[in-house]
Amino acid sequence: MASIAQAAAENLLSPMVLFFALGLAAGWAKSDLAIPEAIAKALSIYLMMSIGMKGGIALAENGIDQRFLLLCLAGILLSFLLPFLAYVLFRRLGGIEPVSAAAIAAHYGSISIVTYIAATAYLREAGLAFSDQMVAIAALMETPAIMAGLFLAHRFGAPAAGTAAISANRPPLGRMAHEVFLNGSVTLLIGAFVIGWLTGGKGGESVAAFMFDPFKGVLCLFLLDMGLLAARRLAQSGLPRPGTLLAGILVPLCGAGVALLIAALLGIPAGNGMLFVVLGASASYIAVPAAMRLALPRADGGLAITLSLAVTFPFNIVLGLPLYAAMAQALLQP
Amino acid sequence: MQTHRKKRIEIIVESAIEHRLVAAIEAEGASGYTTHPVIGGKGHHGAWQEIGITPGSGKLAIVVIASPELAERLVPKLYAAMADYSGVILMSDVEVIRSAHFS
Repeated sequence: MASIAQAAAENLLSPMVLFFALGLAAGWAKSDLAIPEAIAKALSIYLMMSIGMKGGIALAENGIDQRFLLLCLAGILLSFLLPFLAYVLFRRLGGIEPVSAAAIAAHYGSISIVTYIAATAYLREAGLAFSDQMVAIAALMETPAIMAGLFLAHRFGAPAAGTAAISANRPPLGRMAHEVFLNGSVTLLIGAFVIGWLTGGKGGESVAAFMFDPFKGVLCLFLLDMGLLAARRLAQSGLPRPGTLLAGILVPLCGAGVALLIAALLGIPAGNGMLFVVLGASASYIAVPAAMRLALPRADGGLAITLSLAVTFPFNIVLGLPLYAAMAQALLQP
Repeated sequence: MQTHRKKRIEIIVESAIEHRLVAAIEAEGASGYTTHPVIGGKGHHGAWQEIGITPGSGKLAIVVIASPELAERLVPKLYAAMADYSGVILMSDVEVIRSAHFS
C-alpha cells in the first residue's frame, strides 16, 4: 500500500503529469494559453508515428509468439464485451437514456492511444520492462467496441411511437467503416507499425534522433494541450452529475480489473500486463466519437467526450497509471 | 452593371455529415458550393467551440448560390439530411454578376 502511495506521489511529480496539470489549471483559470490546433495535430501525428514504428521494430526483433497472439485475441474480445458492462453502469448509476448510454459505452470499450503512450513513458521511468509491440493490441482494440455500442443502441434504444429509433437517416455503414478504419490516427499507427516492422532495428537507428529521442518532451507538450482541452471541455459542458461521474471512474476500474484477470490467466509479464490493463481502462475520444456521431446522432455525444476526455483521461493519467502498475506488479509474474 | 437575382443558402452544420449535404447539393444539380471553417458560437444546443483533436466534432459552414427554383428543391433535401444533427439553414437574396456560373 505504501509503495502504491509512493508511486502515485512520484507520478504526480513527473513532468508529464505536471504539464497536464498546468494545462488543466490554465484552462480552468481561462488563461489565453493555447496550443495552435495545427501544432496539436502535428504533435499527435508525431506521437502515433513514433509509437507505431517502435512497435513494428519490436515485432521485427522479437517475432510473434503464441501468447502474444492470444493476448491480441483477448484484446479484441475485451473491447467488444466491455461496452456491455459500461452500458449497465452508465444506465444504473448515471441514469443515462439507452442510446446515449450505448454510445458512451462504446467509448469505454475502445481505447485512448495517448493514455497508452503515457503508460509506456511511465513504465520506462519506473524501470519496468515491456514490449513495444503491445501497440498492435491497442490498434486492434479501437474498433470492436463500436460494433458493441451499435448493437446496444439498436437493442435497447426503444423507438418512441412513430419515430425512428436511432436516426431518421439510415446509419451510413460504408462511411462509418471509412471513418473508423481510415481515420488519420489509425492509418498512421498501422502504417508506421508496418514501416518499423519492414525496416527493423537498423531503420529505427537511422531515424532515432528525430523519431524517438524527443518523444518524452513532445508528450509533455501534447499533455499540456490535453489539459487545456479537458478544462475547456468541462467549462463548456459543466461537470457531469455525481452518478455519471462515479460511473466514469468505476467503468475504467472494472475494465482494468477484467484486463488484469485476462493477463494473469494468459501468464503475461507485469510490464505488458500493465499496458493491457491501461488499454482496458482507457476510453476513446478520437475514433469513437466520430463514428458515434454518424451512427447515433441522437446520443449525447458531448457528454461522451466530456466523460472520456475530462473525467476518465485525467483519472487514468494522474491516479490510474501508478495504480495499474502496482496491480500488475502484485499479481503478474515479473 | 447588370446583376442577376439568386438565392444564397448558408448551412452551418456538424462536420460529421458534410459529405451528406454535399451529396444532396450535387444531386440537385447545383453548379458549386463553398465551405467555410467556423470556430465557435452559441445556439439552440448551447455554446460550442471547435475542439481540436476530435475529428468530426466541430461544425462548418457551406454556402450555395442557386436559382430560386433550385433553392426551393434543395432546401427540403438539406433539411432532411440534417435531421438529428444540430445546425441551421439560412436563405437570403443575393445579386450575382456572372449569372452563367450559378445554376
